[in-house]
Amino acid sequence: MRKFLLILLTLLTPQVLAQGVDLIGLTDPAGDDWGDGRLIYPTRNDYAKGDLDLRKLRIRRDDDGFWFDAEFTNPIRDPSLATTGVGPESIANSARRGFYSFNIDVYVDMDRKPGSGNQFTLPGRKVRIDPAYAWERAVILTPRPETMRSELLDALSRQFPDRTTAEAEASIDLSIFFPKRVRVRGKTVSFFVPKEFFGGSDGTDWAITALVTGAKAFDRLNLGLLPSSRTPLEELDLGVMQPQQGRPADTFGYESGVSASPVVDALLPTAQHQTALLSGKLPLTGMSWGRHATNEMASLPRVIPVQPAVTSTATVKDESFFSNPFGSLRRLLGSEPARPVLGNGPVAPVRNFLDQSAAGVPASAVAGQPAAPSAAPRPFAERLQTLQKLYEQKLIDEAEFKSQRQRILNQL
Amino acid sequence: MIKHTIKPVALAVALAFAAPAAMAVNLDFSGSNIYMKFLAGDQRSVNAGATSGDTASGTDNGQWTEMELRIKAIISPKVEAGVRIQSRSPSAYWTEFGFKNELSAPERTKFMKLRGAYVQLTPGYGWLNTAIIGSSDWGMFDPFTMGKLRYIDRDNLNGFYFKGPLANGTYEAARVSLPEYLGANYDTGNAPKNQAVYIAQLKQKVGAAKLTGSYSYLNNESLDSKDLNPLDGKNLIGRMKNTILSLKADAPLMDGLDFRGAVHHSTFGVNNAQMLIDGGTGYCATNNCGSSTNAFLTTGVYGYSMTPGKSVNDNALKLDLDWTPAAAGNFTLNYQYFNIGKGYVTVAGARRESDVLLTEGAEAAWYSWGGDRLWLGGAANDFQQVPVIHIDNGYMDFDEPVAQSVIGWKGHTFKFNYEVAETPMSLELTKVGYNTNWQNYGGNAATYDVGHGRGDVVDVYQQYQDRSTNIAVFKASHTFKAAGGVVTSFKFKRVADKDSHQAGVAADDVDSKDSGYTFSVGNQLHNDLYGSVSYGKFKRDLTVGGLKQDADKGIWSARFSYNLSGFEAGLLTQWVDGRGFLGGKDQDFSQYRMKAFLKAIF
Repeated sequence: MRKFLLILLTLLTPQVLAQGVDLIGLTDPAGDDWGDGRLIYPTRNDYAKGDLDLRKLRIRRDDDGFWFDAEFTNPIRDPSLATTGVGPESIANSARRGFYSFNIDVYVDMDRKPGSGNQFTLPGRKVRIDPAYAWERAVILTPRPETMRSELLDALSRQFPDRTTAEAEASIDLSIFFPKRVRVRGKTVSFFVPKEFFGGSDGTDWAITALVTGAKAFDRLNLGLLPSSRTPLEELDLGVMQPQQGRPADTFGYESGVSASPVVDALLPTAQHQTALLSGKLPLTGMSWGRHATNEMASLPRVIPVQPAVTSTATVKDESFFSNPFGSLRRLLGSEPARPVLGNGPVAPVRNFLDQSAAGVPASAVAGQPAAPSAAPRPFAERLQTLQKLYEQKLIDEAEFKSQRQRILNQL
Repeated sequence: MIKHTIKPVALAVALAFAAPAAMAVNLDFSGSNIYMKFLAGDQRSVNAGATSGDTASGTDNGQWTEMELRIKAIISPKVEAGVRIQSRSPSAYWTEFGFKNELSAPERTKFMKLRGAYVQLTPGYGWLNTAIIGSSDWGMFDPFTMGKLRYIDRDNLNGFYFKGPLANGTYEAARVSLPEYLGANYDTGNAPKNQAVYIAQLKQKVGAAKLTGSYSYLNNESLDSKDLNPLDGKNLIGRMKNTILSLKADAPLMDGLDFRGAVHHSTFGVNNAQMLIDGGTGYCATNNCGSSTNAFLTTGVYGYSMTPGKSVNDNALKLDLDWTPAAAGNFTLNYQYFNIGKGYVTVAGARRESDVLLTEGAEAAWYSWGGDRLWLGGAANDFQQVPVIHIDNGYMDFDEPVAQSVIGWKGHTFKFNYEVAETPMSLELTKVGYNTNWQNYGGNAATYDVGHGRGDVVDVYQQYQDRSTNIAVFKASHTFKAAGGVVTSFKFKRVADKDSHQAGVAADDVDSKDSGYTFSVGNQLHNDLYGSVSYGKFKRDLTVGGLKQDADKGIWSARFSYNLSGFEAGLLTQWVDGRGFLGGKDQDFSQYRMKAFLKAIF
């Protein structure tokens, strides 16, 4: 036993020294885990309001890659105490990473060029991303990463029978990552992405669009009574709970109106942003930092300011017994980051596989996804009109109306 | 080209549910499944025709199949109905070629059973969001009041449930038909068909705090044998009553410090005169519930009963603090204080599949030690704590969590969590005292000489008890980057339990120290297949009345999990080898046991 502990200590010691660099800490409003304002939590007893309410997202970088720390309002539920409802075995048999009730998508805009990158989200999310935050890399945290990746590839092989599996795999793995190194502690889930995935980018000048969805307890095969006109990708939920009208037990519900978005919470400056974008079926915007940070970072009090990052590649020693506290994150300023290397060889862009609108399929045929917006920003008049409607519908109060109105006018 | 075929069963069901042309009904079969279980073990135990038990749990040999059809009909935006139809064949082994013994043993016939049906209304009134009439697992309430049922039974309790908005929160109200085994003497008397548990629950948000209050009421009555007039209906007379008033609060005290508190007050009343009248009938009269206790002669409550023998009131208290210091992001502390009164009674509380305390409790590797030889290796899953004396560990497989009663427990749990170098670690320290420490039932034998034969290791109510328990658990895990990620974990646990029972009598003193460690290694062998191997060494130093009754065992385990879209399979195999005090002497023992399951969900 003593020898074992000595060996363990020797193996672990080098890792103690490389605690990493905090890149950014972002906050999300409390209590906005309602999607477009109408979502109702599943009535099953292991779901409660606050479970999928994202409060903070922190990104830090060490020698090997990037850690994402997502904190929720409620403690994260233990899969060993939950069952699928089929047999007595716990969900932990398949959800082995310490969580089971949610997915977190982080779409990363690395080059900060509006319109350069992808605007689609993965199947099941049914939302698009604003061109100003078009992404090159997507990190998809899900309770069963291996199974979800296999499901995606299986759907692609059926959708594109003339393309090889290897081709689809290369394209997916270049742009989409399903983390497997995951840790859960209390209200926080931390997941790791190797630096190679981001092609050498140091993360100092990114934008991200992050969203939370409910995770299905089990997959099922669609028992269609009649032949379906939907494509395999349109039918694919990829582990995301799809809202149903009413108050269902095993998925999110909504009371009336058009179908609600499956997105439960999105990382946005205010709850009103989220409600307006999701209810209006508008593309999601995100949060940015670094040299190309946009106004939402500067004008919003909820964002924690960050300090310049250490640009040296030397390992950074932790000066205190405990790791750097969450509250002392720094905004990074630095020289032009290295452009991400998209890989050698003719790997097909992932949008060729997953972006139905890019494939020439009419936007209306894309299940639940709104039409791709034009690359130009929305006119000020239109934005002011949207704001006026929100105020008249009492979705925002007078103080918020005046504040946002002034912000828009300041941009003239 | 995507091919779809109309499944014959689904088509037949759809036609059966066909609605008039004016009303379109959406049918959803989500969750319908085929479940198969495979058991292999060297005890060669089989289910020889039991009429209860699901898929022949509680044995170690055989293969079975169960099929479940779930149909949810969304009749309109405001109306939904659902059913569960499931085969129930605890003894229909694959080896019985489909029809062996079906005439003489109905449990082999693979009959299809209506396991539950419900109607759900969401009318959208300002005062009512949801109404459910029919089956539910009743998990919306607290385990200390109305507990969730065992999975196989979770649709078998029926009732009415209403939920709506109220002020800054919600109200919930339910009437749950009382199952005829949930009562004193596991019986609800001779007029059981209209008995029910009533419960109301309010939830309110006050600032950052969430408050919950609930009141549950159960009044179990029997026919009044003195009512001889048949012309004005039949009078009922009270048999047993159980009410619980609960208050809970959940609030952040400051950034990084969260508080949760719960206090439950139970009142339990039993009409002993009526119990003596009823004692001649019912479950216990025909199933030998230990009627030989002295208390039974005056109370009418058998020694086996799930309730105390006389009326009693008591409280259950739980306080939790969770602290994440801002200056120490990798450290958290969870603290829990618990005090569950000896007379706390919740007839409808959770009997299993709930875990009300932070502590891991006793060492599960010694579950049922010295009892059924099926459990030589103990349980391969941790204990879960439930707030009742009538725990339900019947018909279990060895890989399921075991329920342990916490009636009478009081104490503290500290759980330290720390992570360094991507190695999360935790240390639990728990000290348990008992409100049931007394001599000769504290002079209340009539009340507490019950609950025998239902405990996990020992009966909840011992005639003489002077007991204390200390628990320490250390865990650590780390994933090495080789081979796509090698997941390692280590656990050390020590439970010191001492009970000197009757004062001045050394012959009944029990002193046990259970200590053990487990080390496991796992890897994603393939995209769809995960495997792990573990070794555990467990030692029990047990002294009973000065006589050493030690035991130790080593357990090798291999576990696999295979997942495809819509399909899940798992396997756990264990080899147990040890030596211990069994049958009055030290003996070697060994055991092989295996459980595999697969689920196809459609």
